[in-house]
Amino acid sequence: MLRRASRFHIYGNIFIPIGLVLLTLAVLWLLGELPQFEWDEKTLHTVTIAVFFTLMRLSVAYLCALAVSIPLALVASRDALAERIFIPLYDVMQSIPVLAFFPLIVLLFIKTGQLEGAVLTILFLSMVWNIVFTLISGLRAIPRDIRDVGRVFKAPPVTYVCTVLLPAALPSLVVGSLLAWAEGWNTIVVAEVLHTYIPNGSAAQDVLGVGDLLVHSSAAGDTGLFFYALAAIIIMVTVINFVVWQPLLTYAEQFKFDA
Amino acid sequence: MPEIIFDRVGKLFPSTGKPGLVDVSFTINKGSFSSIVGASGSGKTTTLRIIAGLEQETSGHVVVPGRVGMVFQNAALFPWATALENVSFGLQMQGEKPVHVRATAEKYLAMLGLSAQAHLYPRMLSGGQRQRVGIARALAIEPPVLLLDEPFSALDEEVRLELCHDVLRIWQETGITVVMISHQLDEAVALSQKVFVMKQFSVAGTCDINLPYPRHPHAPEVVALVDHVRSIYRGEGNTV
Ligand SMILES: Nc1ncnc2c1ncn2[C@@H]1O[C@H](COP(=O)(O)OP(=O)(O)OP(=O)(O)O)[C@@H](O)[C@H]1O
Ligand SMILES: [Mg+2]
Repeated sequence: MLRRASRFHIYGNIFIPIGLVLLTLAVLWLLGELPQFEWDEKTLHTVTIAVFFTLMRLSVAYLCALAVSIPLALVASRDALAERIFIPLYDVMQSIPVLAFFPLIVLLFIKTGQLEGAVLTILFLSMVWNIVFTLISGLRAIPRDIRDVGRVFKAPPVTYVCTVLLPAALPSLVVGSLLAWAEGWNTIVVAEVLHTYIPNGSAAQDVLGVGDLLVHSSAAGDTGLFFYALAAIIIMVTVINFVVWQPLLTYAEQFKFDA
Repeated sequence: MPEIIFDRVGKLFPSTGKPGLVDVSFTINKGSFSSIVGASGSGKTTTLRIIAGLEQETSGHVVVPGRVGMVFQNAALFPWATALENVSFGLQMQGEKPVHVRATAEKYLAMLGLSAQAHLYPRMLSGGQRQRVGIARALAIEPPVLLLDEPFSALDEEVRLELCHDVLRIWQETGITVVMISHQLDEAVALSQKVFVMKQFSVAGTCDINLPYPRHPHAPEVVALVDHVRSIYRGEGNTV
């Protein structure tokens, strides 16, 4: 049973991305826009740099989201009273559509000339609640006895969090992180094309990244670049899933409590 | 010398407004072995949790030790830690030196016959072995009192008897004060010097057992005392 499941993961990891690339090619072919595959070093170079910048942005935003969501989740799951106060509060905050506030955030950052800051903020906001809510449910599911072990042996508060609560909630932390990254990839396509949110903005104000490449190549009818950018995203998501999330999910399995 | 004193202790749970204990008084002496029996919901766990400092009494007065070792019904081991690491936990929390932590943890694993399993994770252990790790973890901090909340109820009969034997041996070797909740009257009578019978959030009666160890479960004196405890349980008898 377990073996079949893991084999499915491996097949899924290989065939789904290949399928997506082929599907893209098929759609482009149907539209009569099949890209010319000459070896284009300049395009490849641009895409590689864009991928690097996008990954850096997602990583920085993720680390900030992780650092903020852990205390938020811990506070909200402390006791019944905290749950009643914080969870509705977070619910309201989470339900605010991030992109609706993007123009405001962009304007704020333009004043200081920090366009990169605007992108990071929007990515951060799109990621943080995924981790918070998944982690809260993980923390709430910790058996009372396990919490009591920490209390009976008089674990100091910080040690208690690090040696009992966070390991016990690790599986949910991994799932929350995975969701946060998925949301991040979704948002990147919008977030990197800043100028659409700036009054009288121009493309020169966009930040370099795969999301930005995707939008611009598509607008400019550059199917070659568009295809490269899309393939780069699919490959990155696949590779990260393969080398980060699958091993982490497997690793977190051993942190789970028996029913 | 009393180790634990409950003086007209009451516990009201603020979340439900319902009682967990009503007017409970008893004394437990240093180095003694006591059992608490009683119907489900009668307040046994609440009593143990107040002794452990996990719960605060809402009326009355208690004298409890500052430090206890506690054994949970389903062992409550950390699934991410090996047997040795689980046993080390309490010692680490006390800020002991790593060498000392390891040596002590190994000593108590050996006391429970688990040296060969030191590096196995809980999921690789049997139910009985897990519970032994839980006992070793509780003993490792060398507390004055060992509390056990229905430690054997999830185990097979044979394993349960082995573990009862282990707990009795440890009590005799270390002189630790033991308070154990049990739902088996014969187990309580075979092991302890005093049985508290709880009913509706209070102690309905106690039974002193002055029989020598080892006690055979089918010995007539043991059977007679089990019957006596059962009569308190049903509300027929009273304190001996
Ligand atoms: N945290 C809590 N909040 C509210 N009520 C509680 C809590 N813990 C226990 N109670 C209530 O207190 C009473 C005594 O519970 P307790 O757990 O001490 O019983 P018990 O004798 O250990 O029962 P069992 O044999 O089923 O373990 C029960 O009515 C229970 O519902
Ligand atoms: Mg109980």
